[in-house]
Amino acid sequence: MILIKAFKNLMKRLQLCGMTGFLAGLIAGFIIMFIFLIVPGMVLSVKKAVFLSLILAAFDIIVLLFTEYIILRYTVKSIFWGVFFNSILTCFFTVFACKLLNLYYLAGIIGMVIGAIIGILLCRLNYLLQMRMFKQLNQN
Amino acid sequence: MACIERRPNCGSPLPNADLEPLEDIAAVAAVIVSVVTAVVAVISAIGSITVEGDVITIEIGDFVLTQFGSVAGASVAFITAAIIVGTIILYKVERCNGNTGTRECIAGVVNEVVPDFADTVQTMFPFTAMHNRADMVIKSKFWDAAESGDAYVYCTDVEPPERSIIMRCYFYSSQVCSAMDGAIAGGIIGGLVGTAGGYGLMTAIACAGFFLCLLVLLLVVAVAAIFTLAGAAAGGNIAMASSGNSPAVVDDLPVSVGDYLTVRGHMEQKGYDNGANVIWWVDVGSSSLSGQASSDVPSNPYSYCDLDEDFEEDACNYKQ
Repeated sequence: MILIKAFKNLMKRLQLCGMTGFLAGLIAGFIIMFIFLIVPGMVLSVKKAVFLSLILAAFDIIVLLFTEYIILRYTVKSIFWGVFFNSILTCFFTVFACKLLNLYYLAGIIGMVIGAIIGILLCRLNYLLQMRMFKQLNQN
Repeated sequence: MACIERRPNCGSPLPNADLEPLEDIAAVAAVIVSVVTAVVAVISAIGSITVEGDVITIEIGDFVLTQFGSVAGASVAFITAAIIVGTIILYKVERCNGNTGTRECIAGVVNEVVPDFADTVQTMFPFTAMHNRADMVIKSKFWDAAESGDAYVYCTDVEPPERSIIMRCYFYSSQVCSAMDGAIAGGIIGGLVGTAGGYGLMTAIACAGFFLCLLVLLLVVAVAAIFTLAGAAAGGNIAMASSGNSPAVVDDLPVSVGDYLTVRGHMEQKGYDNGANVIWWVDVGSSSLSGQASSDVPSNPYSYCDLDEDFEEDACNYKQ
């Protein structure tokens, strides 16, 4: 329960986009870890890494859209692009980070960290774009 | 109409998203994956993994595990089921424990009634259901209570001075908590079936190559999730049906829009309500009905300006 409380406090700081990235990275990393347990010694070429990222991203998008629609009651239209970009970027960076570091057994943790960072950066980018639009509207 | 000069301290126009259930899922999943990662890292460090043909063997000292592929499939399915069941348990802890905040007395008019199992999603997945709720436009003398503790404040969507504070008052529903118990039991059974299914899938399809292995693993996760959720939905619905309806009732009458209510209960800030102060739960025995708003009191929404005049004597015995 202590660990759950600690992670819950972390989640409160991440907000929705940070948590979306966190979950995308967690799911992707979890799958990568088990793949490399079942097929150890596998050498991942750049082409295979790209394919792996795309397949994991597609899976992440489906799971996250379902979860955020059922649990948080967002409409699919309102969350789709956020989930899409979060999943694509998180899966790519997670796969390539594991490939570069050759730490596939830690893919779960790597995925969580990368996902949270990408989610926070996307939140920030969204905020800056909204502020820019707001300023332009005021000038008009 | 007796409006006051003070404006209610309403929540921001763009409230923070209510993320609490997702935070629970993320926290449970993170703990489970972290523990599994730690176990795997230790095994990799102290043991060995060898591949001969399509048989994978893990050796740690004298312990030998062969054909890890099928066990990995079952493990992935089990972990997926555990995350889902763990989340449902957290829902139960959050929604079926109450009476922990400070005692409060609030009076106002019922502006809206939201029953338990209010929409299709809550009926399909009963563990997401919420207790019966009455949203009350409250008298101005209770505004300080609603705003206390830097809480988010719900308000009516009208211009001042008629803008009024809405207090959410939850009535305990035994059907909601029974559904949670049923969902946990059903989820465990579904999870076990999903785990067996995961083992069977990995054994039957096996890992002839990297991408086939990946697709099989994703299929195992999907199968485990579907079986666990289906089990939770079935268990929740069975428990919900056998529990019987428990509507919001005060003075043996169902609460309805326009009722003048004095509610007593524990007040606490709930993440589900964007951090607003809510009554969780209404103490039905010590709450009371004081009639209905007359037809010449404007509704949709009600305003404290009319309420303060029309519902002057409430049962809170609170003198401002």
